[in-house]
Amino acid sequence: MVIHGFYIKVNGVKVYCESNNGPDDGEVIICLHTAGRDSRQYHDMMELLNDKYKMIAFDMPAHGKSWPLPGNKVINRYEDYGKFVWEVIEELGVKDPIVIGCSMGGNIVYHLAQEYPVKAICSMQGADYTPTVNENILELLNHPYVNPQISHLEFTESLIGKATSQERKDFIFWGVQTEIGITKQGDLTQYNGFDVREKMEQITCPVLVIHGLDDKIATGKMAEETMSRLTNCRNLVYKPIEDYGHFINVENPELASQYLDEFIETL
Amino acid sequence: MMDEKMIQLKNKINGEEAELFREFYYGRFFSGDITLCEEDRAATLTFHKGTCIDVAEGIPNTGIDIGVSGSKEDWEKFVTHKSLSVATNRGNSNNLTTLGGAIRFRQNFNVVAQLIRVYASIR
Repeated sequence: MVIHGFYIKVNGVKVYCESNNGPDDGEVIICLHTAGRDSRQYHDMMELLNDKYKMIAFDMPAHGKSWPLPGNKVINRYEDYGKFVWEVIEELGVKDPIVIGCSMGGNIVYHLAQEYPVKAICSMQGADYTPTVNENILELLNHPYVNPQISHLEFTESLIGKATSQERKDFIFWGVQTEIGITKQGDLTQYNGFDVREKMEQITCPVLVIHGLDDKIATGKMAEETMSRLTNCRNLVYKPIEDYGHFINVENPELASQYLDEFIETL
Repeated sequence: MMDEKMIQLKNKINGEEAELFREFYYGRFFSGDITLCEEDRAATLTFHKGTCIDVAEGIPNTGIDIGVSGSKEDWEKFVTHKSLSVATNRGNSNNLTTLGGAIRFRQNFNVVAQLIRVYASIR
């Protein structure tokens, strides 16, 4: 097991990070988890790539082992999410990061590439416009009469690809059981309000898009529409994956790692 | 919508699907009615602690507890993916409409989702 954990402090918030202890003299990859979950989603990819790249995954505030914002608040605007990610990168002392993310993490990499000096991005199950979650579901994610760890089970199930192994499905379902209502509400609120379409032409860095096609909520069509607006990036690589779904970094880390490695080799 | 299909649904949810329905989807905690509507037809299944104890045509005289409705096309779309989350996601077309109070429905979302998934398999 190569992964080890450590804490940093960002704006007074204790942030839990994990690294695969990859080479110090190579590229550094920053990994962003999906809504409500934590950095464990990257364990497999981190192990698969640890000989070649240093990878650092961290839990966003109020997720996993990171502290919430002061007053037990959560982030619920994508601009604040992007700003916090960049502040983590700065605190880690990483220059020219390659930032990868899945779902809401796959969205925010586009915002980061618009606003911050990233070297390259990889968007998994991301898009530049995701107004998909019903308002009443958002409200009931943090409600005294509704248990989000149970009420959201079928939502997660619907996102998993048909070819995913039972062991990996179990880990994804365990993720539902560990979610915090107010945290998930904040994540999906910023996900629902995510719209960076007008600035997509500002993205100039290389972009890798990995998309599990067995995802009926963040669909392949949404990824394709997003890519159509990437008119100025230096290199755009699209890797669709059949029969796997929304948690592609967990469902098929082998292919995701292979595609990421091939992409980084071209930088 | 009523008649043999609903009887068949009751038998499946109490039989070969019972363990999954009651345990994984938390059906054992559900007592109440689930009404399924397609076009102008409706049927209601009554449950006690996860066991279907009655099937009746139409909407209960006491009103709808929880349920889903849709057109023929909406249900045909549902059969292709069999997920209530997908069928109620606002980014998608031909969605199903949820019936009943929002809190009561959300509390029992998995139960309804699995019931109509089984229904889709015999529809």
